[in-house]
Amino acid sequence: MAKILFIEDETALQRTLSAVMEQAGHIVANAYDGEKGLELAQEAVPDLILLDLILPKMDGFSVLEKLKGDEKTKDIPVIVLTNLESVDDVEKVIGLGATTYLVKANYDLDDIAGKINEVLKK
Amino acid sequence: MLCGFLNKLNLARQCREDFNVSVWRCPTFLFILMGVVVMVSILAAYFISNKYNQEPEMTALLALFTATVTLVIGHIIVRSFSLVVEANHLKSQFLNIASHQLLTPLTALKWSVNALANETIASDVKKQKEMLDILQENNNKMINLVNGLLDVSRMENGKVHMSREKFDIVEMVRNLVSSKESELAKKQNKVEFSTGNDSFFVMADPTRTKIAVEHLIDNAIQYSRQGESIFLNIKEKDGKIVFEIQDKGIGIPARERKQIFGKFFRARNASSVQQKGLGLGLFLAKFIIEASGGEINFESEEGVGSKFWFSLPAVN
Repeated sequence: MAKILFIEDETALQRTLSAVMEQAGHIVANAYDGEKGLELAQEAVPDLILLDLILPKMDGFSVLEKLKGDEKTKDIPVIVLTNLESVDDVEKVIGLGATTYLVKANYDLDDIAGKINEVLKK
Repeated sequence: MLCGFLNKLNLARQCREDFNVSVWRCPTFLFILMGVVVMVSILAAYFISNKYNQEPEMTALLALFTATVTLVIGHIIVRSFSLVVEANHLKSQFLNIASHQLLTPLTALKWSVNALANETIASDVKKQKEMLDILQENNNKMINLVNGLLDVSRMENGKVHMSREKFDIVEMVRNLVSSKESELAKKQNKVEFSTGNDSFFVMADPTRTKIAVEHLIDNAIQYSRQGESIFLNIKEKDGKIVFEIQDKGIGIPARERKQIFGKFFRARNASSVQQKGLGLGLFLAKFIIEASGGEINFESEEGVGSKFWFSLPAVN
């Protein structure tokens, strides 16, 4: 059982992914914008963070940069989950310290759950 | 500072970044090139005329004629290239925005179907209902997105049928505000609705007017700051019904106000607050109101807020 923070502004995506992850025994906390996500990450120190890039208030790039710059959160693995597919974005988030980069529309929930378990086992 | 100035002189880079075209198809470069062509033509006309013709009036006239002709030709060339580049830029922007806006509901559809395929979730009636609601909601989102795009295309081709019916705009606005309760609650915003009368009847297309009003209300909610009120007023003035909506939000930067009713436009400061939508709301609102014989306009101050209003012909 792991604590997962999902920073995503689209409620439908939050609800579907959370349902599958909770059914697998994980505890999922949701944040609707970048600022709230960062605040929750610092408060709860989850085992894994799922991060969207296009977010209100603070975009995913800034959230990632702040997470990796903070002693308390720098070691939390971050999976970037987005529908942006440009090479520049992938290079940027990997450079900032993201563990992996997944394009939401290209993956089934089971595949994402598999990737999450893979990262948690490391 | 020097670096910024040198960057501005780098035409190739500017053309690539601003217009996404090579130097030879870039309007800025063509403008400079045409300037050089005009100057060279004037000088050539002057020297040739001087050589074969000794009358200074004739030389001046010929140089003036050459300058006028080359200027007109140059203007037409630069203008044509600007239009092509602009259209190309708009097309890329449209494809980019439309595909991204469609990807989110499509992902939600895919994931909710995935969740329903999970036996444990499917056997839980409450969860099953939740997933089916997500399916329905996102299916509607996609239909609305595609309808918005089709509307723009129909409007541009002059093929939109606008009905003219008598309806109560106060009732329409009240219902729309009620339907926005959950969005208002997210940022603790509230709507302060005032009206000079319990009902005001207008003559317009009710379905499309509702779309216009909804876009204006959605914008006010999206761009309002947390906890701030949105002021909504409907009144009668000079035989017209005037709808006003005012928010205390991020406002519109002065230099972007001219483009605010344009297609796919989102102000620079708006992108940090709201990334969803096609940037068509105000374009559609303006078209609908003007096609119904009304007027629409706004005033705004960056960092303070915006006030949009429109008027429609009143009927008794």
